[in-house]
Amino acid sequence: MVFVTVFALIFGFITGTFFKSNELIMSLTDLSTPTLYLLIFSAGLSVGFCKTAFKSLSGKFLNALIYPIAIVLGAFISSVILSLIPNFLPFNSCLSISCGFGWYSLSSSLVTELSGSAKIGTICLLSNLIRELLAFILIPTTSKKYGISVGLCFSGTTAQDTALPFIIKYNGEDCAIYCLLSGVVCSLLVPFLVRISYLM
Amino acid sequence: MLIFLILLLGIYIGTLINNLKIQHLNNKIQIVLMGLLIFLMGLSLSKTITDLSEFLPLIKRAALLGTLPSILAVLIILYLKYHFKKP
Repeated sequence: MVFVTVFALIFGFITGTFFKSNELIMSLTDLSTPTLYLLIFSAGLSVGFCKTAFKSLSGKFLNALIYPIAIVLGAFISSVILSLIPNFLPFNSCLSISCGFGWYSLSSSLVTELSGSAKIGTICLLSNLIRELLAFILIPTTSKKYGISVGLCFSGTTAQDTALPFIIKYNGEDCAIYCLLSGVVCSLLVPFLVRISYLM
Repeated sequence: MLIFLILLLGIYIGTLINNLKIQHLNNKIQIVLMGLLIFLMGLSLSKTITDLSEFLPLIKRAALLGTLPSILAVLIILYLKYHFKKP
């Protein structure tokens, strides 16, 4: 999936440089809003399909809830720190980018729509891509020492889909429910937090 | 508001569907939609960034925003584990 994303971004960039007409590009980029709505509906379906996560919510909910809370806190504290760096980004942009939790397609589209800036949208896309890539690198290397913590925090929303097989492979199947719950909670939070944090 | 309603509608319909084929089809559709969205972003980016040297500061910022939140989240969890001795 990461390769599809990188390829699509580079392909879009190269195609755009060959087009001389700005009007054509603008009319094509207008398609991003209906595409985003379709993607959100499809993402909602994916969350709804995870019935096991909903059924075992009561038993392990509080334990599993620690991970999304830590992820949200990490995003908030890091945004405060990074916004203090001169010429970085304002606090609300930092927070809305950090609240993508690895869901690069949705968060980058939302941030682009909210800010009206393709640059901030690209930073969001790249930061969430880097986050997911790091998750794939760190899960095999840190699972023995730190358990699922590193894998869950870096993968964020992808803990319930792309990163799930990796986390299970290196930590055992017992942690699957933590991954699903953390991933579902993070996925539910992304559309809300990205919007709310940008309006702060 | 519309975006939240669409998300909730998707979740509700998702809970009603038990067909594995539809779930696989949904995953494939999601990949196509993600690819399309990012392609469109690349298109608009090509008109925003005319000089590739502008891209480097974006990567630096993205790297900081991609790593620091996760590192802090891990530290919070490790701190909680250390204090409460509960995995």
